[in-house]
Amino acid sequence: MNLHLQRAGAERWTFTRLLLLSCILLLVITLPAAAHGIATGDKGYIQEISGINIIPFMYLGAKHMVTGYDHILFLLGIVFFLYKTKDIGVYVSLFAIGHSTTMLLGVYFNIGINAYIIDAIIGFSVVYKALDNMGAFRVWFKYQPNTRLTTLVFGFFHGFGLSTKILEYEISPDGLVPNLLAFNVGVELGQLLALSGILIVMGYWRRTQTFWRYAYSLNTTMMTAGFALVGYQLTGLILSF
Amino acid sequence: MYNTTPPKRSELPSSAQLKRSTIIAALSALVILVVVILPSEYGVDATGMGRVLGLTKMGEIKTQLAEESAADAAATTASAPSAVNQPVAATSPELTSRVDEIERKLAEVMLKQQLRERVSSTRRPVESAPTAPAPTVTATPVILAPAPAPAPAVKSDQATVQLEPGQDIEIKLVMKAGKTATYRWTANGSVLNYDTHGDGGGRSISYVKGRGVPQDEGELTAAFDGNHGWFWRNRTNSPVTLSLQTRGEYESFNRVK
Repeated sequence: MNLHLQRAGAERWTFTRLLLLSCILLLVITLPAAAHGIATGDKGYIQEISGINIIPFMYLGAKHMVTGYDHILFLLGIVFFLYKTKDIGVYVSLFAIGHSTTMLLGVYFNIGINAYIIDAIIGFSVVYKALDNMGAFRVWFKYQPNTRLTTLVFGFFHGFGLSTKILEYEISPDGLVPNLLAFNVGVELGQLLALSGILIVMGYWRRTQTFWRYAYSLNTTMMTAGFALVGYQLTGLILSF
Repeated sequence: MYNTTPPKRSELPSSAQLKRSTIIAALSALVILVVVILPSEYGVDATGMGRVLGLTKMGEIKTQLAEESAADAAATTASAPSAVNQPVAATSPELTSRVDEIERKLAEVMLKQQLRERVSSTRRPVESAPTAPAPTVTATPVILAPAPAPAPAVKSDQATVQLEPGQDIEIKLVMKAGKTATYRWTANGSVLNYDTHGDGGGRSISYVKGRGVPQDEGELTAAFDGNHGWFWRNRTNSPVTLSLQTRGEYESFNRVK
């Protein structure tokens, strides 16, 4: 990777960043607004049902993951430079073990963490992974943190993010454990679906020369998105006081 | 430069493999869309699989809630003052008297209507179980002329209603702040979802909610002047008979919807 290639990437990143930022803004603007007194959508549905509902909860778990852009961005960061199926399996499993553990514990023991704070940490995990991919830690600190361990640790934080959202759903205590496990299986299924999509797109892209030209810019763009998520959540935190 | 080593050609997928993966992904997405997503989100079940998996019911509940939420929002907007209520600039005495007459007739009709609703606590004749009490409701005398509201004495009411699957009902007591009513309701062997709540003077409060509850009893203390009571919905797949008994210091017992 020589210098003039880097610069070529640097000139092109602005467009990609604008595109991504506008996507994030769109997501922020179109957050659901409900009329007073009636919960609608997934939350409304969950508040209407009780007892064991395995398939519906699996669906909700998968939907949560596939539409959860913060989780997807982190996943993209993890597999960005992984080519071997074995490596992808190891890292994605570590992430899954991390978020399953804290999600189940968080809901079961009703550990309520401020949603804004946890989502800001998740945003930071995206920033961290992008910097990690860019080799920033070796350049800045002459030290490379253990990538497997950090994947597991950030997995824990992502799990608390999931549990915080599930607690907001107010799931009925009747059939809670089977429903939670079903939700968790759904989350993993959703993760596999999202991962398949990411890997197919990356597969096409890695075969071209442009991958190495844009890899740096895309990680920078991902970092931008991560910073935007952190800012969005912290603003929400401040406004909530 | 990067936290990685460049891949060998052999570590990258071949073009044929990628094409195959794309086709499989597109077909899987189509199947997931038709069998899972459309039933779960819109209750649209082309294959019948959604019903089997319990996902179509999710879509139906979501659609129903969205409609209710929209109706709720519309009702809130409708109750806002509109141009119709503004005073007319050029009012003739003749016009005023006609309007007065219309308003008087309207008030009469509305009172009669309220009374009818109060007396018939059931939407249709209930094929009630022998144990279910017959709906009897004490009606307050109708006072057309404005009179000082009498201090609420202790009242008691009861109602029995049959709810079809998916059907809901709301019964409210008109109460002054701090007044208390004891209540007891039962789903007569089945279960109901309920929300004990109050509203009035632009305020609303939810006292307690429950899902799949066979019965409940207790005391309801009004947090502020307004309507306080219950919303029930039958989420089972068969009709449920609801019986409610109330007793306490409230002004009237009304079926809201």
